[in-house]
Amino acid sequence: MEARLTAETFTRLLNCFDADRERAGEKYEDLRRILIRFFEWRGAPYPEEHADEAINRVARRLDEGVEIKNLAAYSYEVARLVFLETTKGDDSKNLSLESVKLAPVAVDNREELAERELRLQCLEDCLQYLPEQSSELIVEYYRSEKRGQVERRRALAERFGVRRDALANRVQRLRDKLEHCVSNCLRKKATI
Amino acid sequence: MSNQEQTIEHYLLGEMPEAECVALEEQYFSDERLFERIVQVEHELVDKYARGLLPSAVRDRFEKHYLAHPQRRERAKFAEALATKIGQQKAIDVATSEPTERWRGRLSLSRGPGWAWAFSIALVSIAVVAGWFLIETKRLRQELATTESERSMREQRERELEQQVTNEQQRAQALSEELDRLRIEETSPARSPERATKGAPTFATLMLTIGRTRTADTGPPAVLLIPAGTEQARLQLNLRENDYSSYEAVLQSAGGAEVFRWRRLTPRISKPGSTLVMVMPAAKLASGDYILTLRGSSKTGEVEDVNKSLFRVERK
Repeated sequence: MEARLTAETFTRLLNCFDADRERAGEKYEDLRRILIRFFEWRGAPYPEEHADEAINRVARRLDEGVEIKNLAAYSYEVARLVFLETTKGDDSKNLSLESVKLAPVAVDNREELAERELRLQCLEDCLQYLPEQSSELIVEYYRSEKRGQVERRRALAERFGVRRDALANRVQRLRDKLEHCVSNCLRKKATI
Repeated sequence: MSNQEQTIEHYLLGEMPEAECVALEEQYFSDERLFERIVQVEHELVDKYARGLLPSAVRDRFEKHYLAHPQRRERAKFAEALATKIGQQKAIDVATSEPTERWRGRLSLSRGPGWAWAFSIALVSIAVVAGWFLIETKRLRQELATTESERSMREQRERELEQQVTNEQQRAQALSEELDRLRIEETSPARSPERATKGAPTFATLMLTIGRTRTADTGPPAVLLIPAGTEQARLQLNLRENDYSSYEAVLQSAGGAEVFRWRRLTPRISKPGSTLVMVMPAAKLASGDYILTLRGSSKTGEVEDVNKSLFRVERK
């Protein structure tokens, strides 16, 4: 994989998203999220690294003076290329055994239980980091009872003053944030 | 499940042909709403798997393809942890809100008009019964207090009556003794009040008159003549005033030795006045001087000296 973006290149990239720096940053994060999901859904190993690689390549193209009219479509083409490279060629050597399609291996029950406990604890901690309203939203949105789910979510949307689809988007982003937080927490606790 | 959701499910489970995957991906890279819809379907899939709600055919495909990837496996584990956390929170909410819910349920039952009437009637009935209990309790307490008071008075009256009975019994005994003495007197011939008569008299009688003062009567002492063979000596005291309920008398010799004593003497009341009669064995009276002390007992039981009389006994 190639070197990280320079500050100048990164700025040129952000300008491509939006003239407003803040909105550009949000669009950058949105694109990165889509790219990570793409690599995950396609089964590529190290989705985050490959997502960053795709963004780097797009930024370098901009540096080279290539005019990109549709950044999203261009980013997809670059991402697909990166994915194809992961399935063959140099990156195939870096594939971990984990990325090979294997049936789930039976693990020691005690280990599995301990891991579950740890994950639950990390989730508790990560929920604490969220604003109270956000953690309440996640819990309320994903309540298991099917009965009244639609009504409940409609009421939630009203409470937060957003449309239902906007509420769903907000919750999904919160969930992704939580997932990321839990993953980091597990990595930290594993290294202790 | 809609067509779109089915398509997305196929994509996520690796069952879509490459060309269709590319077409979908080109779409969701440009269409944020479609992308979020795919994420939502993915979350629903993993949540159902975590809660064991996936149909078996879908579960098999999910486990074979979706869980083969490490990041996707982490997502499924996260979904499991989230489901556990939400389950715990639900249990806490149920535990804290159950009493409230129960009461709400009960109240909701009473919201209908029929229930409201029944509830109101029940309340009024309870108030009436409670009021009756209060009044009845007060009445019973008053009754108890009255009964206690009456019992106390009865007990006092009983004590007074017992005392009266005791007094009457004592009086009856004194009268009985007096009657015996009079019977003895009636069966004997009468004697001169001043001198003993000749022959072998049964009684020797001495009559004395007792004044108000307690000192010994003035003048020469009276003489009781006791002929030989006399069995009884009788001393008759004539009382000018009768201020006592009963009397007692003590006969002493001139040296002070007690010769005889009479108790609970009750005077005989006649037209001239009251008379006390005392009888004693004549053998106890040797010739010599004697002092007769009369004492009176008041109604309160106090005893005080009434009179002292001096007389002489001459034996023949």
